Amino acid sequence: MIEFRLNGRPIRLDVDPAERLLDLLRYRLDLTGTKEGCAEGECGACTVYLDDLPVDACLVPAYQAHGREVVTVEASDRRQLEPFLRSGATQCGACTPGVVMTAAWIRDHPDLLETHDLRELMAGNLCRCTGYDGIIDGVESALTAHSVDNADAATESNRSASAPVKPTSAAAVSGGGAVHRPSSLSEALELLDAEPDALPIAGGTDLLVHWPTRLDAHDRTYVDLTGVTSLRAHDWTPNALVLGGLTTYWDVIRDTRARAEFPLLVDAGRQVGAVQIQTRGTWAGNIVNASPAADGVPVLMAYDAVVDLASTDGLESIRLDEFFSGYKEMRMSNRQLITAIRLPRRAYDVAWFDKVGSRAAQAITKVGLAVTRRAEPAEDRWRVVANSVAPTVRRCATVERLLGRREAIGSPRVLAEAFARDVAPIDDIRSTRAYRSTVLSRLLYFGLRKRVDFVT
Amino acid sequence: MDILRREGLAKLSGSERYVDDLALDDFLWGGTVRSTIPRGRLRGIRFPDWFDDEDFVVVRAADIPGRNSIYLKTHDQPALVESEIRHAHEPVLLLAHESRSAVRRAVAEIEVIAEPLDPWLDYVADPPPEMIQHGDDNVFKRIDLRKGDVEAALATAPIVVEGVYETSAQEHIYIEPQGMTAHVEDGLVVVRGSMQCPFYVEKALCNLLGRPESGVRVVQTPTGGGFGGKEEYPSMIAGHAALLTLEAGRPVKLVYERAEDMAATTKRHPSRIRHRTGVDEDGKLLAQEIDVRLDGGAYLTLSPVVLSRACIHAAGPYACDHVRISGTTVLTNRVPYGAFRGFGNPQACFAFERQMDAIARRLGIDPIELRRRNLIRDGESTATGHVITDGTDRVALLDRAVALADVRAKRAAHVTFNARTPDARRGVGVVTYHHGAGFTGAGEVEMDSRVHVVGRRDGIVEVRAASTEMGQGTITVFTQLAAERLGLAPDQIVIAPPDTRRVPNSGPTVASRTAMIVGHLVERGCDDLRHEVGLTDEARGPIVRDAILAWHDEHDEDVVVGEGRYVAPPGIEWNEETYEGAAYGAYCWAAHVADVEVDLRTFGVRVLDYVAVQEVGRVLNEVLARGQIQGGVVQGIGWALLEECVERDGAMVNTQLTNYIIPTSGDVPPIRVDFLENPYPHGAGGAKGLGEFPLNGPAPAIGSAIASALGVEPCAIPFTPERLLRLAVEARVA
Repeated sequence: MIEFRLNGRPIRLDVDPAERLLDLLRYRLDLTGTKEGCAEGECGACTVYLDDLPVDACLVPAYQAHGREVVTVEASDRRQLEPFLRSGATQCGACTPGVVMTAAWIRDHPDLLETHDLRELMAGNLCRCTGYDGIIDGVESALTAHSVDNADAATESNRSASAPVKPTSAAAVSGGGAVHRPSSLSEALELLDAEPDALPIAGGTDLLVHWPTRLDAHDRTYVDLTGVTSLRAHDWTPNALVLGGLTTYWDVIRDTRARAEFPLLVDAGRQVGAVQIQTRGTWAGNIVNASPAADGVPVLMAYDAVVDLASTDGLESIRLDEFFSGYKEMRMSNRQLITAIRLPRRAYDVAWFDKVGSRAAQAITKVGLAVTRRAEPAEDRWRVVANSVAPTVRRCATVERLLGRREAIGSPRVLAEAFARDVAPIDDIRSTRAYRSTVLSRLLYFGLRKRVDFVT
Repeated sequence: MDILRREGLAKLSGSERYVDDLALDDFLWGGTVRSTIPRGRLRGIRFPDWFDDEDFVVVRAADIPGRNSIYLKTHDQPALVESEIRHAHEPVLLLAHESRSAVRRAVAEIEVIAEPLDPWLDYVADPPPEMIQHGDDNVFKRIDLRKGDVEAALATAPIVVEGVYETSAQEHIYIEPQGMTAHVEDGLVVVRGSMQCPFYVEKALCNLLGRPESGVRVVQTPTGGGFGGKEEYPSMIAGHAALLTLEAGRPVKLVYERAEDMAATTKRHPSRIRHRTGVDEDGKLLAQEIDVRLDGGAYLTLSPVVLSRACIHAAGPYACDHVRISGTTVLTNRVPYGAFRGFGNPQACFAFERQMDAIARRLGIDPIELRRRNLIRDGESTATGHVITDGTDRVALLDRAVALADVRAKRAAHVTFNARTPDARRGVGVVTYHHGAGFTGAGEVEMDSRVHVVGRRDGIVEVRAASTEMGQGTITVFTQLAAERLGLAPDQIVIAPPDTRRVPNSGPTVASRTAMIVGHLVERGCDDLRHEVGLTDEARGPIVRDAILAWHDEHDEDVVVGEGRYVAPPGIEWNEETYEGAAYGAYCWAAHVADVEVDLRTFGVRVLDYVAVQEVGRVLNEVLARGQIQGGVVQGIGWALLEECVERDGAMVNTQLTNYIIPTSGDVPPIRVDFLENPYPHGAGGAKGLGEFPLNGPAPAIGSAIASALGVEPCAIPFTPERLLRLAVEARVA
């Protein structure tokens, strides 16, 4: 049994552990405005608000709605939709409800535009009809219309739902699995201790991809960490930025201090998926997913991150650059959870992050590079971290030593030779070995050329 | 009189119900078991131990009551494999069950046992005998179009330029995946779903189920995008849903998952087009010899018609006295290719516009000037000998695009930028092209389309047509045309949902024919309705409504029917044998300018600015028309830069939105659109069809811009960074 508020009304019902929020809304509550376009968090047609943040409902387990506020397109005030109608924001309409949800969120939070532009914020909603101009124009005029509305103090809530909300049928997706919902860290650790095969779940942005057809995943046991609220917040100590085990990309992106002190975290976070993924995906989840293409890991590594691991046996800490031991292999047991990621607060005089994906947003990295140089003189000031070019995200020790020598570098070739000792890119569905190795050295070469004098 | 999109608020508020949103009582979920190899013989089906066939509804080829084919033009494509497997993801067995998870599990675990045969996957080479699977040469269609004497003209031309151009498949990615529901009601098999062409589906169902037209009913549900992808394939899904509901005796819903949709349904035909062009020193085209080859995939589908449009456009919007175009579309053991916005012309346009750039480079003539010199002037003829006299100034159209994009200033700025920037290069590309509006040749005459405009007892005028709304604006434009013609307010007009038991056959919703051709039938239907209720042609406004109400006072029928029926415009002659004459009633004309930056670190291409100037007859609704152009351009940008169907053993393997890459809002600039209007007397309100042709421009325009930026000549799309890096390395740019 879960309880949550849906479009302003309280809901209580039983959910199947394999049921997604999208299934619950569409097939049991008859709120079919939320569409399914891809089942993998790419198209954004299922965008809803979870506690006032846009998320893809296809990547949210229904049980995670417990105790939270869910808002769907059905709660929209029709009068506020007119700017989108006039601008041509809808054609076939299949992406439209998701577009409206993201657009209305921007309209209601115009401060987002202090750091983001509309095209970046809307990039989590794929549209195949409009070419996006009608949508962007619509958001712009909605922003204008909205400020006028506010001036008139027309503050009628758009949170009152008109649709009925009683369950209509059995879950469309079901399985033989189970979920535990601990409310404290110790409870979570005890559950993992008792059931070593149970899988911790937080943002679900990886675990729920293609969920409907991944039938074996429906039969597993999960430990849902989202109730362990102590892991959520990130913290600034005098010497470190400490990310919690549940800190999301969005938490960091919206932190002005992070923008100033750890800009690569913000750069990388903003290039993970799109807003709907950034609001759900966690830094710790990105680490334990252990993908060689992980976007959060290179920048953490370039900032010398240390990971805190907890289990019922106690706490241990491990440097992130020593954490991965092979493809999808980590120095961590099934009984452990990441409770914190610690980043020392230091000055850097060189720092940048390049992500090469197949498009501007929502791209899996073909080759990525995070580079830092500490401001205070030291022997090993450089960190050069690459992703998608080896079985793990990889610190490139040969390249770091080369840069430490400050010898003149006049072309990408010298760097390519050094990288060849550090990384081993492959051909796959997304790119080629040749492309990856060439581009990796070119990214570093042209990046250095702008920033240091020994590269010309 | 521009009105707002009529169903727009329903779509924006989420209340519009698509096929998967519709209530359906006591239904079963359907599923499709498919072949896993590109070619072979079906030997059997192995069910998992847990499978209980009492518990599932199962349909095999042997259960088909009518003929086992998806009938459109031929009977070559079966609804379910009987013995010969011709492509991967070919339907073999149908299932239905109350639990969607159970269906998914069964589909995943049921094994298709087949004896594999070597597949034929080369559409350019001639197949050896053991690879022949269609006719005696695998050729679905051959076209040989001749104007003048190309051999002689090439032999004497001072300069001959050759080029080979390739385009790859493109997946439609309508955001709503394909789906149908089926049930039996009063003895009728009722199929509802996402589709462009209800009467194609009706025809296919009658054939498959062995029923007369009166035994089936096909209803289009709001359709979340089509782009040609819901032209022919919905007949397959409708057939499957109907077979399942007949077997089950209960309603069935068959909605594809995205991956299944991408793997199993049609895509744009890959092409390889060869040009040999004879020119004089001033760049005047003397002879064009063009060879067009299209990969048809495993079944014929619409490949001959796509080839036809590709060939007719292959010489471009240029005047040339000596032209020979040979075209072939052949079988391969790939998932069949089918209709996709542009229908062969995007492929043709990519080749002829890249060839124009090659000629310009060879001669050292500005590519814009080369096009100016060769664009068809009124009184000159196309490759099919169609003398163009529409009064459109095509040179002025080109110049307008060049001026709007400020090409001269851009080129100057790029010289400076490229000299100063070590890790990026900028370039600008200009293209011009044409697109025949509506069906090719005698298609409209054969179709004999009809529309009913009826006056209801409540005084409301209802337009009954088979044309579907899939986002392009049918409902809004028909409302506007009827309201304008009758002088009524838009809310006095209702557009009936396309339902084959209720609307006449006004043809398929394809070929940009809906506003131009069917819209014109709406106008004629309005005129006829006026006559039926005793009014003259001049009658407008409230008296029309009064006359409808008065008619009903004296008659018992539910409605008074006005009919609009297709009449060919005068002077349109087309010879289907020789490919001579007016291939289309009218052409649209366009000029596009792309401004790009190539990142020399990554070889990624960013479109900085895009200008599209289109001559479309008359714009009926500014917001809708602009949206069509912008959307078509962005779909074309995707095809040019991002979209690649990665293939293994004849099947697409990147069947996810995470690895088949379409543009996001962050990948494209604002698309700047300008219209030139030159009303077409035989189109509704002066309109010509505009939905498809914006897609043709981006691939060659971006290719041209990349060529100008990098000094390499990309002749194949997509222009992925990997491909551009290879070209740059070969040309020693990197």
